[in-house]
Amino acid sequence: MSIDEGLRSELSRQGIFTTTLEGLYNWGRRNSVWPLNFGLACCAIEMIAASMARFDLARFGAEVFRPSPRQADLMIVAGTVTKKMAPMVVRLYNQMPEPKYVIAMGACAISGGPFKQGYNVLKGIDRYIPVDVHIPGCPPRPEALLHAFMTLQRKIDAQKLSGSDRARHFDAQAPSEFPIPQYGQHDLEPPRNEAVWRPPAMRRGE
Amino acid sequence: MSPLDQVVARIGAAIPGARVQILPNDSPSGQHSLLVDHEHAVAVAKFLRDDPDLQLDHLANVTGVDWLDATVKEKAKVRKVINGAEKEVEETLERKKPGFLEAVYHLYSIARNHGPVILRLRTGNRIDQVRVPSLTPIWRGAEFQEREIYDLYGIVFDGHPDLRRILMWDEFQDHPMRKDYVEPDDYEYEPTAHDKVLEKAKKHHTAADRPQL
Amino acid sequence: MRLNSTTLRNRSDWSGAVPIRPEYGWKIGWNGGSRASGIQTVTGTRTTHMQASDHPYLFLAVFLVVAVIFPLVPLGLARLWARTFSPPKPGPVKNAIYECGVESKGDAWIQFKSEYYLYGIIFLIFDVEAIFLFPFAVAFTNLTIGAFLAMMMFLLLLVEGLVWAWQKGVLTWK
Repeated sequence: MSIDEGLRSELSRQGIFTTTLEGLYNWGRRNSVWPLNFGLACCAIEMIAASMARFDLARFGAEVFRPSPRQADLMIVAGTVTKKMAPMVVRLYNQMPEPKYVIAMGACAISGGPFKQGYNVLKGIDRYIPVDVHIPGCPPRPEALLHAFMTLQRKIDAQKLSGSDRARHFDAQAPSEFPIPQYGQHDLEPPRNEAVWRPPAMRRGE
Repeated sequence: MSPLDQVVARIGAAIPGARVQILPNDSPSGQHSLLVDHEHAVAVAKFLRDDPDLQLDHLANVTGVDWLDATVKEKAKVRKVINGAEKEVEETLERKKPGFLEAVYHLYSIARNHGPVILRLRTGNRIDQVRVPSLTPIWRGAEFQEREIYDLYGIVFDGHPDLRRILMWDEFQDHPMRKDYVEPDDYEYEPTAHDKVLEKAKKHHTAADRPQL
Repeated sequence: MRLNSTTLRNRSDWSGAVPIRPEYGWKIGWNGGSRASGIQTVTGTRTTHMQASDHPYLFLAVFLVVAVIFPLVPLGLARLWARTFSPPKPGPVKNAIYECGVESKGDAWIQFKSEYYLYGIIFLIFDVEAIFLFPFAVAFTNLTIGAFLAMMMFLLLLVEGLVWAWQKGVLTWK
């Protein structure tokens, strides 16, 4: 499914544009990423600002915030994920149709942020669902969210239709639903999904 | 507003048998508070709200305090016989101070523009006598804050209309704001590995990958 | 004279000059069965043999076919794409009815207090009243005293109803 670059540019100079099925598919998807309409904390205010006229998320085809997970492609986890809220977020993610992407927005969503050592805040939503783009910041500015969108678009653009390195949603074995944590007596159970996230090994001086 | 000792005297006159004690505050703010006994707490609160001179109609804040068991060192002068002669010696005495939980109510009057009057309710201990009367029937605004104190400190408010956990989930067993709360050990690499954090981190790494910190 | 659907669609084109008069010339195609080979049309003294494309209602048929094909092709393509590339991954959570993250408890058929509807109706009355009040306010300075009195009478009737409901205790939520 590849075409010689020289030939392609020569053709386009003649007014004939060629593409691949993969390119067409990814082009369509990356320019119509519909986010799920929900916010958890103050980062959501920046997310709203990013979708308004000044920053204009619509330029990326992502202005259609959907109120239902069934119609959404992208989950922007904007804000602090408390342990009480984490099962809802995972359940919403499970209800989204494939292909689905996750942007973890802000220090809290990627690691727990200033509440990391607290008793009630999840230390990053990537413990339960696979996250595609992490944005640091407290909160990240709307430009950072736009950057994350562009990063996500590049990621979508690079996804393969077939082969062993094809995109996750083409793999019949890859899971579409992830286990929802249960409320335990002292913590969420399990505290993390080992298939998605493992604590990084602490090494220093290497 | 009349001084606090007058308030106490008027409470004593209005509610016979009420034991109200002034807890002094030595800090520059000098916000002394009233320790109220359980039996008359609701009656005292009602008096404070309805008395025409006080009219403490606004409950600004309810919070909890956890006082651990403590040993208090006090210096005292004791007469002792040393080497046959009686002398006055200064000795340090250790006194056990049992712990308790405390609910603190900050009251203001919007009608008369004064305040705060601070009420304190203390539990018997930190383990099994953790009940205090609820003041929600007097000030409706106390409802959610008393629920929060129940959630985070474990004080049980008798007479509360809907005493459930409010921040943590219902299945949760601990009271996270108590000073002896131990958080779940889901520790991993932290950028700032100091002291207690470092000790925890070491436990989670085998000898092979343990860093030389 | 050749007719096609374009000229037929525009009545002014074929009303005067064209010597076709439907009352003695036309056989409407559909009830005559499928007469694709053409229709003999009598136009006064002349007889014209028409092509299949000349049928005046042909554009409707074409339109119908396109209307069917236009949505079916993308649907079929999407179906084909899904079969070839995207494996379906249904699951109990994904197929759950409720979609706000919280698990649904109990039955959706719960009873509402009847007071709620009284509230709703009273709200609706005054909501609609506001629609009448806006033009009234805009034209207020030019209105006659009679119009003003009529509007006040209208308001009075509604307020009377509100007072009645108030006295009945409808506005107290128990």
